[in-house]
Amino acid sequence: MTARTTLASRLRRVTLALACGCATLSAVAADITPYLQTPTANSIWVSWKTAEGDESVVEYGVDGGPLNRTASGATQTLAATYRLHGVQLTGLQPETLYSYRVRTGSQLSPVFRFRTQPTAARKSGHFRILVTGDHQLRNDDRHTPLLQAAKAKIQALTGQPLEEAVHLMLNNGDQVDVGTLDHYEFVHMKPSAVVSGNLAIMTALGNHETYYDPGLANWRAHNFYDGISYKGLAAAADESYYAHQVGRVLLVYLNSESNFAAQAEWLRKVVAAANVDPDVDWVISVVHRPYQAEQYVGDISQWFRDTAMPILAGTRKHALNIGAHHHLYARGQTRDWPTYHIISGGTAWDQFWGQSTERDMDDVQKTIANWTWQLIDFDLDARTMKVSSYAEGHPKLGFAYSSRLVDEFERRLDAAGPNRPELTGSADGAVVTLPHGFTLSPFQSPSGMALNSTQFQISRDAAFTSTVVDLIRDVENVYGDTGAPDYEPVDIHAGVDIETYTVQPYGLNNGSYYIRARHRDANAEWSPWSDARSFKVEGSADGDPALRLAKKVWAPGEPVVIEYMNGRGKAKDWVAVYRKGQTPGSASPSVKWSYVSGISGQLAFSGLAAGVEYYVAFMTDDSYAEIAPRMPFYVGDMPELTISKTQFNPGERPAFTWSGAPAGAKDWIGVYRVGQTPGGIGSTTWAYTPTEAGSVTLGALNKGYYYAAFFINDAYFEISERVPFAVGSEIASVSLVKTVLASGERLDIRFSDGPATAKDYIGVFRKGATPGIDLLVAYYYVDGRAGGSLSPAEALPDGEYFLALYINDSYTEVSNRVDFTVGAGGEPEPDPRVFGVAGNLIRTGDALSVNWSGMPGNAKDWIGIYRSTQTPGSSSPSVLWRYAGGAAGTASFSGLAAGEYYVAFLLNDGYQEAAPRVSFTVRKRGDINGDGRIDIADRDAQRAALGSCEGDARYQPLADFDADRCVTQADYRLWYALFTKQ
Amino acid sequence: MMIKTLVAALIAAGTLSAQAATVSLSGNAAASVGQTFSLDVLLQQPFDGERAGDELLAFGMDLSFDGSLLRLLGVSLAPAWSDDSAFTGVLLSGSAFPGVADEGQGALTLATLSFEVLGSGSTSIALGSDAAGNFNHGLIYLMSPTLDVQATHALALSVPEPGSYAMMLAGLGLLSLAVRRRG
Repeated sequence: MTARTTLASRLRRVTLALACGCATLSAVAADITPYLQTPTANSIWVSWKTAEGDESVVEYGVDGGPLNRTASGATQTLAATYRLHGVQLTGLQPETLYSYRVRTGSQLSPVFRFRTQPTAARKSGHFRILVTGDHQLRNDDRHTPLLQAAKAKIQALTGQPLEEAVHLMLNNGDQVDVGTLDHYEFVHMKPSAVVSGNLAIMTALGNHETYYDPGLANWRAHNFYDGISYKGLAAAADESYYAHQVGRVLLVYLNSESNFAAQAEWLRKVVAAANVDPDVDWVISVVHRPYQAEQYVGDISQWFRDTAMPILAGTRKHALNIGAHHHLYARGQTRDWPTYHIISGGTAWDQFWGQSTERDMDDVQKTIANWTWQLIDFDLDARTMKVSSYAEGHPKLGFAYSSRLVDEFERRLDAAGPNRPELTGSADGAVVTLPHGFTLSPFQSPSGMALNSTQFQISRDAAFTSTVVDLIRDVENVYGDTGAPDYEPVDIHAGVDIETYTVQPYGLNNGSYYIRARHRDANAEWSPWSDARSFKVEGSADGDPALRLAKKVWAPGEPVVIEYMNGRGKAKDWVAVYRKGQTPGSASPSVKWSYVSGISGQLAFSGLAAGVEYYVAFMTDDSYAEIAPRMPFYVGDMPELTISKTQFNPGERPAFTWSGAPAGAKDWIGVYRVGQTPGGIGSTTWAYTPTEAGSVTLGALNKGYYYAAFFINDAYFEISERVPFAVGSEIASVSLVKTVLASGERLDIRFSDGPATAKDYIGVFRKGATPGIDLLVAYYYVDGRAGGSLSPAEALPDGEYFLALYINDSYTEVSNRVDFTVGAGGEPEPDPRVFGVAGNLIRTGDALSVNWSGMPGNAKDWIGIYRSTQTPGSSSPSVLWRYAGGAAGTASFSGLAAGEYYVAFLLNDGYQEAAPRVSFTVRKRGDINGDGRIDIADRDAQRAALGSCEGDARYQPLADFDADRCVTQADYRLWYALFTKQ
Repeated sequence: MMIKTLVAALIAAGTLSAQAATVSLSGNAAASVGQTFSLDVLLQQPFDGERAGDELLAFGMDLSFDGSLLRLLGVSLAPAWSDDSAFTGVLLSGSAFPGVADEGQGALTLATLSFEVLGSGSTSIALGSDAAGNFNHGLIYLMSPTLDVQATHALALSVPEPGSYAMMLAGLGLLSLAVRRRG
């Protein structure tokens, strides 16, 4: 039993006693505001912080009567002057108002009121939830005014006190900037005091909660989530994800930072249970990193988007996903499911248009860089949910708004979707010339809903598997703002007829196509697709106009050969070379140019200056209208970039050498994950390379496939070959949306962090097969992608299988395996066999944490630690071992000397291994750079990582000695102690 | 908020050790508008009491002053110290390798702060740390617990005497030039 469990059980032993006037001598401490959480129809947790005193007492009673009941709980001493008190009130009546105050010795809070939750039997009236987002600022409290405004607005709207109008408040992570007690007190609890005495607050784990808080100790101390359970599916052991039912709403809080494999399995069970639960009408998911974002593009939870959301879509009850992480408001609908997603980004660090990489996403309807809060209003009779977003401020203007309504949308569970539309614009099989428009018949909703979106698809085939156009447009598309001085949102779809799609001149090449379209209503429901129509395009191009260069770096003096294709065929079509940064136009003449001859051909340009970045453009009819994507190139020497080795352990720092470089002051080497595009996302680690030749050791890297390249002029043009390398083993991740499939059902596969080589494939084998020896049942190329999804058209025969990702047409497995069954009907799904370690690079003195699940569970199954050169057997005893003691569990091994090892799971006191071995390294504590010594080079490595936290490029886990996931002067002190003691 | 932090730090510093090293600011107590002046950040009795024989490895402190009256021109750490402020985000942040050992020093200079006087009036400059909230704060010793510090330096800022006007006008001229350039 953990200390936390012990505490929880102690806290549950609440003493109820009739009492009255027992604190008449106490002084009211107005600065003690209780914090309510984990409410049910019959209970609620009350917590509060004091600087001293061990008494934890709540005096309470039905509202309007005396505080004639007393409950006591326990006190956690988290620091010398930080006592956290927790008391659970039980035996309460549903939907009942209670009054209470808390007491620690002579310190007494004012009296507050709260209302208990309804039971699932309540099917009439309103159920409301208040949502606020990130508020991690330590020294600029914007959350208090936001909450004050929300409270006032809700009370004005409903005419009721907050605790009678609203049932619950949600926070979706980053309620602190770092997970220290100081931040829990001053960044989270203090601003939350506007409502926390009256309204229970539930939170999702953000990335900032994980900083400075090893083991999430402070998170778990402040949140009483360990007792939460839905249909026997308990919260995670670290309380980082949980499913909490209130009334007829199931709130699923997810952890977008870690624990993905176990969490996905847990989520699958939660969704399956909720889907058939007659007491749950609504499922709302809450996760910190969002599903999609139009600013800081790519900074989302790819795990949630690719894995968790498809699992949640397993029930049509999943109506809303709430994310944060971005400090603004955004709303959209998933492309395929009737599920809304929002970002409720709160009031944290300023985020505004023009600050980051931005892209208009078709599954986001609006992004508004405002400080907002949301009110979710369920009408239980009508089975509807309305979400209203109110803005209070803007990062450039401060609190300039007064609860301005910036968005409102709804979901009606029982409303029928729109009628099937028809397409007009051409007869089936018509020959068309471009431009040509296709129009949908008028939108018709039997439920009376308004039109929200349309989708047009044009494909080369009738099954629409080879689409060339896939366009979703909403009636509004709020993207960007008007800038200073007002920063008003801009609707870039204003005046756009979304029911007509016009193929512009040369928008399609000559050939045959199929088109279909559909409507979506303001209830997120799609109509059926229109009947598909075929058409043939004539008079257009035979292919897309394009430019091609044989290489992108040309030696000084070498003619640059440019190939052009599929031009417009006009006599005055021309190709021109410009310096990077120039804009074609009469005021900015090209460096070189020439008319083309015919629609395809080749041109060569000589005399281009060396050391310069250029691009080539393809324009038509003596105009500056470009008809093909520009192609950048560079004239100059091509540097040679090499790496010390191509396979690293996590935490190791890669060393690079270069020669033949231009020696520009702002030239640089950058390291990216495979699949990332430089410029679209920040590099993982980098360094300037201002000399013609040299070497550099970059920051430590987490597990993954990477490449390094040489860039020039502080920008993203690569002038070297990419140098691929890998950190760690079994890097890629593969999952299935469903692991128990009916006969004939198609697989839905998700993969990420792959090596992205040309012939990587997902291989499917029969259960128990050995890849390379037993035949593949099926294989699916991933088309050189590092991540994504695929759903093969052909279903597999009934049977038991596993699949994994294999690299480059080999049988080298680079991902986890996923077991699955086809045609298993309702048979229970066996737990997947999982065997791993918490970290495969540890230091002497650290314990190796081993975890496993899905094992056979024999009494004599055991775990052995071996040197990497050993083979398990009676003649080669393990370094350490112990019995597993169950099909699932964890074990800790200490006292390992520096060296290379692996851990094996072995069966029945024998040497048969039940799972692939897991390699790990033990490095001498303090030897950060791995050279076998503790010296000034390690001090330099430690200092280079100073101030960084996990997730930062500079973060070096081997320099983090206090395991708080950040490197600080406290770690320097611990390192220095090792240095002086050696 | 800064004042609250400093008060908390003062309370914490008082409770950590009865015989603690202390930080002070040393330098001008008065200055005129347009003048620049410097203050040394001194650590008094760094190895007294329980810190005898210890080594001082690092320090971190935030600075508080009235920006309408003073402008911080620069922070220069004493030679023994590497400036870590760019890493830690703490204004006064340094570390030493090897650490500064106890050699009976009565005081150590940690840094020198340079200010320009923008306006007149009574004001003060305060230093403080909050080691519980930021692990890069405080005086970080090898063996002894991290020590929170605070220091306040009172200043009387005046308009210069008539004889100084010419100098002040020259200074203001340079200042306005700098402001125009920034704009």
